[in-house]
Amino acid sequence: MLAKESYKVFIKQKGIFFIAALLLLKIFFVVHTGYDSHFMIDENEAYYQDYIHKYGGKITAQKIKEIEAEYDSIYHEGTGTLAESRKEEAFQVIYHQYLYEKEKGGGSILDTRGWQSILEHDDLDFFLIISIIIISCMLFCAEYESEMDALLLSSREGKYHAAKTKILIGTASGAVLSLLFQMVHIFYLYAAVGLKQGGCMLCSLEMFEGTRYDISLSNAALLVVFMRVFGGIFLAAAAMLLAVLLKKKSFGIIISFISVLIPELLFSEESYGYYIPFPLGLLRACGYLWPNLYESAITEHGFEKVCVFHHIPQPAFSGCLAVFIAMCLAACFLCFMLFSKAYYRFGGIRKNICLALIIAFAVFTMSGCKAAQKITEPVKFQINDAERWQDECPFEGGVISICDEDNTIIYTDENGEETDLIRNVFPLAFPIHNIYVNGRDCYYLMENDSDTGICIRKIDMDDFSDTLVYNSTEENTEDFYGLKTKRIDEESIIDNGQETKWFFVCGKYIYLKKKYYIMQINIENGAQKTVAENVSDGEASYENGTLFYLDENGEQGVYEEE
Amino acid sequence: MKILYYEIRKNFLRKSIFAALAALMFLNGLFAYFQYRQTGSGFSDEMTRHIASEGEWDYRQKLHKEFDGAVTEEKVRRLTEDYKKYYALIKQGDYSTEYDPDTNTGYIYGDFSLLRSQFYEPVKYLVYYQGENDLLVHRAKENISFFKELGNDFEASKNAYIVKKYSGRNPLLFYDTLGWRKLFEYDYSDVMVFIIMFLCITPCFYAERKSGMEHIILTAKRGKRGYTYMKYLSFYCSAVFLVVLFALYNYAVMDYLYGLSGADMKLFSLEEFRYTPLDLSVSEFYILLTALKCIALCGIVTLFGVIAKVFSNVITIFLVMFAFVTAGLYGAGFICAINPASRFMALVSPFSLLNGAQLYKGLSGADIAGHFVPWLYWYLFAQVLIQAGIQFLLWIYGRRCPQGRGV
Repeated sequence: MLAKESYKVFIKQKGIFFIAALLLLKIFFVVHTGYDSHFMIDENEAYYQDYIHKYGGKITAQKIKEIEAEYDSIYHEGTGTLAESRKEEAFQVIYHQYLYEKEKGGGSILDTRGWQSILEHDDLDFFLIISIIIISCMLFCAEYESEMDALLLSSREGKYHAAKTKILIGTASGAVLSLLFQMVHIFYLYAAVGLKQGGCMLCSLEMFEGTRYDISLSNAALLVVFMRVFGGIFLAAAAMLLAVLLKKKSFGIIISFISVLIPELLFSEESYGYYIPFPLGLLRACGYLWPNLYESAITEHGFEKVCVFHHIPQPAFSGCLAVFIAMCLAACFLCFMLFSKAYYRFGGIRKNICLALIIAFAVFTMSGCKAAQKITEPVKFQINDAERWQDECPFEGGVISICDEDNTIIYTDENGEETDLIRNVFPLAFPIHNIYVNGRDCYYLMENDSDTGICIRKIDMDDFSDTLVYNSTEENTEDFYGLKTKRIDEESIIDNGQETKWFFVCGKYIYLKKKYYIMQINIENGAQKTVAENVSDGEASYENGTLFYLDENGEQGVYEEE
Repeated sequence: MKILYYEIRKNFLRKSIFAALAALMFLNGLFAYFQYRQTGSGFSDEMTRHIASEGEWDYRQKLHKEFDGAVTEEKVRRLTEDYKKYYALIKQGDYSTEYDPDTNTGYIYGDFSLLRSQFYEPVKYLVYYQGENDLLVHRAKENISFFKELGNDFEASKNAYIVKKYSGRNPLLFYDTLGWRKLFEYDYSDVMVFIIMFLCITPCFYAERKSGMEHIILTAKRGKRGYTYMKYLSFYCSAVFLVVLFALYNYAVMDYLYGLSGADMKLFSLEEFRYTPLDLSVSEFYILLTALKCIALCGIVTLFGVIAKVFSNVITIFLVMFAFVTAGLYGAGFICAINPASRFMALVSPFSLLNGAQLYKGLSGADIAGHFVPWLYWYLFAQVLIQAGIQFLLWIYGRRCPQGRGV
């Protein structure tokens, strides 16, 4: 019967295709979102890997000596070349971790990116949730919709055995799917950044400073995986119960989905969601291990911090688990009773017990335990060290300059008369950072600290039309009703603080220098390409498709445009 | 029109739908309440009865009684005097940080902070608004002649539009704006409407196909084509009814939680709508937002209907609708984008008009033969075009379908 029921759900009702489609979407999503990292690591990966290779593992007296010696050599004996400053950045990450690990952490240096990606995010996996709900509803609703339930209930095998088999398939599917979808993420992380040194303590991750769980990283990850597997089973049981109660696939699917979505919308950033006797907490899982989390800011009253996540005490966690297990069993039992109509056999008191259980389940669930471009002029670009900030350009005997105070661009002619080039009466969205003049076109670049993107616009000096050339700032404001949250932390603020040193526009390309590299951006399709690395802040020039720049050792580098 | 009534009765006037509606309205209220509880927490200046102490709330109410209504010279003078008195004390730095029963909130800094954030700054914004707006209009007037001389028709037209829409503004009415801001921002009720529409529309075609009723309906003269159009009409009626119902409900909930005073207050009295091109009161703006939501929902339910018609499996319908809602919402997120490709995504998404409040925070428009056309008209035109296109395709499909299954 197990094989027949499985065949009915996965093959006949095409359950396997839905799962395959959702799994493919999950793979795409995982690859697209990537992993947790730090810009200092990303930009200096090779140096970082060298350091991890050298100092990774338990911090010993020998390593302390080596790290301190490296610190002295970098900060006191350095000659200031670009190669050294990149090495310094990679070392900063290691040294920061070393200081933390020595004082508060687990006493080991390790590459934390993979572990952070697993343990520091409690976002719901909607692909998994949908697939579990679909399979659970298919199991029972198809019988009701085709009126096969009457036939099934007329035989002894069909009445009891079929119900048990269906529940077994549903819960097993919940567990297997949960494991499968999590494995996709874990394998990706393993392949992308590795999950090494799993034996280090959980407090080796800075976010877990002060955690009450004295367990290793691999054990913590395993615990999260198991909790999510149990969450999958619980969700399957709840969805099956709803399917039996509602009898229609459309209602079963949507009500089950809502029962996960609504608590998530209500408690997306708080710890209350973990207490609700519903699968939400188990499907999120990571928060059970988190300590108190704080958000800080400098206000008029000075430095303030606010607790944004209250840790879940161990007894509460154990209590929640016990309640969840009881509810999962109750849901399976009720599902069996309702589908097989077994309550007719019990009659009298037992019937009332069933009714009371249903009401208790409903009350418990609801209440909770706790609360385009045309270049006419040939492009020439020349920049020297003194004017690298591009805030002034000569134009027809006068000068075009940025007015920081009013965030506008002013043309001052030879008689000293000023003309405002930006005629928009409304304030600009971002501060103007660089300008570049080519022929009778004045380009200006805007960027700010809260966004990684840039916006380049062009003023035509003939008719003063102001048109967009390129924009990579974050434009999408949709937060999916609070499900997509964007937390800006200190790292991303520093990351976004990388200013554009200079830029120019040439045909369909924009060239710009940020930090140590020159990037080429295709205006038509937005494709970005790093055309030179290890570039110093010295002179750079461009003529007839050839870009000249000075590299980290002060030697001339050349890039020929394709 | 009896067929319309029958369709509405069959698909919407059902016990299960009423139960779902009641449950979702309860949840909607719960969401609003949760949002209310979180308002003002963290580093925000927002104040509600929930987070304020007894003293703070009484002081706030007293000040509102004193300063609410038209902003007069006398009121501004009194407010500035009070503010300066506290400011001088705070600036000196020798004020007491201990509990002081003679103060209104219990603390001197508490009095100062409340007066500054809830009254002085908002009134200052209103008083200075006219001058700043006049400057903006003056610059726009200068721009008109400047661009005309250069032959730039579009910019001249845009500035003429600014002069027309922004001239003579004087928002001298002061009321608490928190409730109105929350009402304009609140969007969870859209999710509730989606859910009910999904529950109603999914079985609409599927159930008739499953029970074989479709064959009987299609044998009748009226049933072949008129019947499906009536189905779509019933979707529109239900969508409009739900949007209006939730709009009224949200208004009542927000009024109860925050208090919605000053319905005549101009929209630009709210600082985030400082540059809005609309010269409407906040209550009129809420009606406009509701109307835009009705148009958006009509577009959304048409596509829900098409999905329900095209696919024969409930699970496929659910997945496709889920994907459609996700993609549509994502596209609508670009409503204020400046990249043409992003704008295009927002234009084709029927969900864009649900974000009407965002669209009206500033002025944006595009060039048509040297004329400035605000983006709202583009969005409306795009939606009408898409709807007409869908209906045309359905009509063509209905004519050419070999089984004569209608649309």
